[in-house]
Amino acid sequence: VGDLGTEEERVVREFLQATEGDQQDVDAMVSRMAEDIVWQVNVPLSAVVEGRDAARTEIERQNKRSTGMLMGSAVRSIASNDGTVFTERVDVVEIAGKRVALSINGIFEVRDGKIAAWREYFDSLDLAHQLGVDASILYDDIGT
Amino acid sequence: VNAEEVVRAECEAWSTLDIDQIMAYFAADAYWWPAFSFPKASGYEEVRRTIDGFLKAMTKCEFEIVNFAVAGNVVLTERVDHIVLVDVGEIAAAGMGVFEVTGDKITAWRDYFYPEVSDHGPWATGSPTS
Repeated sequence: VGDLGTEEERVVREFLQATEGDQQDVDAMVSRMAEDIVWQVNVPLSAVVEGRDAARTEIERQNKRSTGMLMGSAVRSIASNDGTVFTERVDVVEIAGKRVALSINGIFEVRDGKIAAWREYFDSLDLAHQLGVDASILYDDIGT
Repeated sequence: VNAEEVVRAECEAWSTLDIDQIMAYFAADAYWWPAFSFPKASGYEEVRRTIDGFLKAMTKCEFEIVNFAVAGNVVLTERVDHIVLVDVGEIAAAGMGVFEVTGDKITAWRDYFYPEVSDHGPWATGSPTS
């Protein structure tokens, strides 16, 4: 018998499952988003993606350059307070043939069973070091 | 005291800029990881030395807890840290921190921040979007 968590945590876990695999499942992800979702891919540096259509475009853009969450990805901690769900994770992805394990922390605000806000926090210098690139290039086209 | 109270007390303690008050909530075997591109400080003495180094660079540090959640002994915080850096001036660093608490002490503290704005390290500027 495990702790199944709150209804909001279940929504977020299902959403995260849709990010797993060789490619993120765009339809499954978008179907769990509110029409007016506000998504910041990396606080505070990246642009803010507003609305489900823009979110779809952003996920499709990500799918062109990165895999989805691969083996080794994990939710390290999950906790919630009212409709706000915290996920401390390790995201294992492959970008341009390089596999990285990114320590990342995401906040989801769930409203009526849909994700209304999503903010991700990570150390982009850590990501840049793992990729062997300058951190500034990570922001060239996020959210555009 | 519960885990949330320990974390709130620790966050409050930073506003004093007093190393003894800040260290009062760390366990002997605690680690502190201020950002993943930084070295992890392990053990009370190393954490103390590292935090002392940070304190020397600032004249103000107030943690604003925007959101938090607790799962057992793990406390997750979304924060904006309002800091005055000696060489830079006032910054507002948005990030998240995860605290693991045993009894009345912190055993692990992992912060998720972008740690650098050009050469203005070690904190970023900016705020959450909502």
